[in-house]
Amino acid sequence: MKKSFRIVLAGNPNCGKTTIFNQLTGTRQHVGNYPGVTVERKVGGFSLEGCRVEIVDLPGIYSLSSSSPEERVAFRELMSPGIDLILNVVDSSIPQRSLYLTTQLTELGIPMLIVFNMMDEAREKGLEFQFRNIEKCFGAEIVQTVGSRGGGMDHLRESIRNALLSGQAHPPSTLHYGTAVDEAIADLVQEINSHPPHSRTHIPARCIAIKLLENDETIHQMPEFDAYRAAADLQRGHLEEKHAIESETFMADCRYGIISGLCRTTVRSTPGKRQQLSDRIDKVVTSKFIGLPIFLLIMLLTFWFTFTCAQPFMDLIETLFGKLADGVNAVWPEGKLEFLRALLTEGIIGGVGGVLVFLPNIVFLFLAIAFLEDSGYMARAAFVMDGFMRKFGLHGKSFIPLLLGFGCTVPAIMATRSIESEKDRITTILILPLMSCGARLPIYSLIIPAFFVPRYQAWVMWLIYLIGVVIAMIGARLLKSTLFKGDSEVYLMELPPYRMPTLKSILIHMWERSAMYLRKAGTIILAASLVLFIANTYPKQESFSTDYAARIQQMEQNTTPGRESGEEQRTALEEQKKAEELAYTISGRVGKALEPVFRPLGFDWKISTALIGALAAKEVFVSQLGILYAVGDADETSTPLKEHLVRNYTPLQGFCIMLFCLLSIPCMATIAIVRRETNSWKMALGQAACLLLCAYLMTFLVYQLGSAFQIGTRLLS
Amino acid sequence: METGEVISLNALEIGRSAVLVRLGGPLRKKKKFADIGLVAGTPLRLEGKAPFGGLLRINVLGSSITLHSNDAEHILVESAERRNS
Repeated sequence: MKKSFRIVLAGNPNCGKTTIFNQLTGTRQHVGNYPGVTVERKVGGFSLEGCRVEIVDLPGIYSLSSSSPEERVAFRELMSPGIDLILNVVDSSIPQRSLYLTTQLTELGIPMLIVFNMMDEAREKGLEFQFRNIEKCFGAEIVQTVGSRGGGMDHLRESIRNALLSGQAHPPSTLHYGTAVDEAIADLVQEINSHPPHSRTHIPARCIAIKLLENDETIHQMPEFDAYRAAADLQRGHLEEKHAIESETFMADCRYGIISGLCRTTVRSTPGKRQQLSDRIDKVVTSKFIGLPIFLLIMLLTFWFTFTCAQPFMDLIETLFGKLADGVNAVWPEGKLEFLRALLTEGIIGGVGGVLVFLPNIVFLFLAIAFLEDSGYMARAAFVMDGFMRKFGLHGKSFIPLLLGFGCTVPAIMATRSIESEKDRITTILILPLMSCGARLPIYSLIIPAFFVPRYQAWVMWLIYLIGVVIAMIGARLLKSTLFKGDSEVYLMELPPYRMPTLKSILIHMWERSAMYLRKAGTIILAASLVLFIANTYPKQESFSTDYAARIQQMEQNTTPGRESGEEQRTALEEQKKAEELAYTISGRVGKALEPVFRPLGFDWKISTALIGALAAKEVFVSQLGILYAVGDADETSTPLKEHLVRNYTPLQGFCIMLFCLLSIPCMATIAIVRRETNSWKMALGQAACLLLCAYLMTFLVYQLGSAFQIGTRLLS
Repeated sequence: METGEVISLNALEIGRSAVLVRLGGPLRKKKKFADIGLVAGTPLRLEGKAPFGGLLRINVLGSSITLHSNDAEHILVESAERRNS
């Protein structure tokens, strides 16, 4: 007997497929991202009487064809050999729509279980089913479930067990689409069987015949079937001529015909409690006049939640990392393997810790977005915002990725996979880094309180975010009217009924995205911290312009009575020494070499050095500046660093730093993910270069204009 | 508009029901529309229009679908009933 099995879960979007998936796999599910695939499919597993069962959760689809990335992924998966069972999840409250996919899955000739999910909603709607007749029609067993509450899951497991282990599994029935179409299919099947066998013998000839008749794109890309194409075209032409069918839609007509016939006899609709609540909410939320204010209010709440509620957790993480560094310092005596000690405390703990501080921010934003998505509001937000986005050449579907971009650009770019049109998708990816991500926040939190009075701080913060959005929109407009000109995609999107999301699904959703940020912290930022640490330390200076040790000693001897001023002078001398040491290191030299380039933007060599570090990841900017100003343990709340800034830079320069950081690419991970998602180094590096150029020009403009009109050009102290 | 008259989906009044007659010639990606249930004979109802214009919201086979008015222009329907008002 077989030792391992493969099950594929297929169904419409929002039919509760993932809930069933999670219920079956329990906590052992993991998410697999497959490079080159445009939409994610999830793989999980469980064991059944000693056998390993693998479950593949396909993206939600309406039809088994190739008109969207989701459909292409699902279709290719279902065409692959070795599937033992299909679990077709059906939303029982809308049987007519859901069974459309079932008719197509039936054609695959793979044993199938039809899972009538959300039976509670169907009952509330007053629907009654004669399951026996539906089972007979499709030749597949039906299991009733209420996935969200785990109802019927035991029955489902039992049915899966029977299908896989008892050897009772049989392919579903053959559906009939009317004489004319059935004849065309039969002729094609004969044609296929008359040829020598192809390499995909696991696909029934009838299924291939139907897909060829339908003129399906994916089938067209499989060279094994080239030989039958002429025959299929002939049959299609014949059907068009003789029976006046519309070649693009005749199979849909046939299938919906079967379903409506089936439902007429097997589904009884008694007047029950209709889903009035969802409709009533929608009347308000998507209304022409109040829809937009409600949307803005919800966005405001989301950001309030992100920034206010995450604060205590951020403080906590900061304290923990501080304690960790102190702890290591306490255990590890000074002077022993000094290089490694400094590398660990300053480089690794300081660098990675400085980044992880922003994890709560990102987690809270993703939590809020997961709630909005799972509850069904996000689809409404896309509906409400579509007209606005269209003015800039984008559309409603770009909206969710752009919103995610305020958290972390990496998962946001992944989320563009739901955009079907390649041109729209690439446009969205290209402007995404302009959404000010969580990593830029520490820079704003350092600079804004340093240079602006409390009354204006919130406004300056908004202004920065707004500049990013405005430039992104202008960029989108430009890209769509030049490089990516073309018809916008056909927009067809379902507004799912409002549902109270389950805590588990929200947490999973949030975790998937936050994990990407964590992975970035663990890899790229860790590496960058190490490189920067070395660049900041070497080469070590041996001889100084003055003998600092002697001067300090001399001073200590002279100033016994006025102790305090002596202490101050001593720190000043030590800082001077550190600054001289830094100027000697790789960082210092690179910064000094670049100073002429950045001078017109108002940046001195220290800022320039920190900006180079920030190219790896924006989070690094603050800690790097802290090291350069020899403020031990720098973070955005450290007063000494703020004082250094105020003493050395004007508010205009402060603003220019923020502007430059906002407009340049957020981190190396972004470049890597753009290259992966667009499958082109040219695109990824071109984007980084354009953003850098844009950042340079805009900052240049602001600094020069600001200097000319003397706006914020005076030192505050 | 009279009951039984064939009009484009765009011209349907909000809240009114209709039956789909056919997907007009110039409509792009007809298969996509057919796949979500927009085939001849399907009843539908216009639920609303989006702010800023552009998108329509219709109810087909029990679910709410949004589509663009440029495409809705080519979807021909037969208005089915008078609104109860």
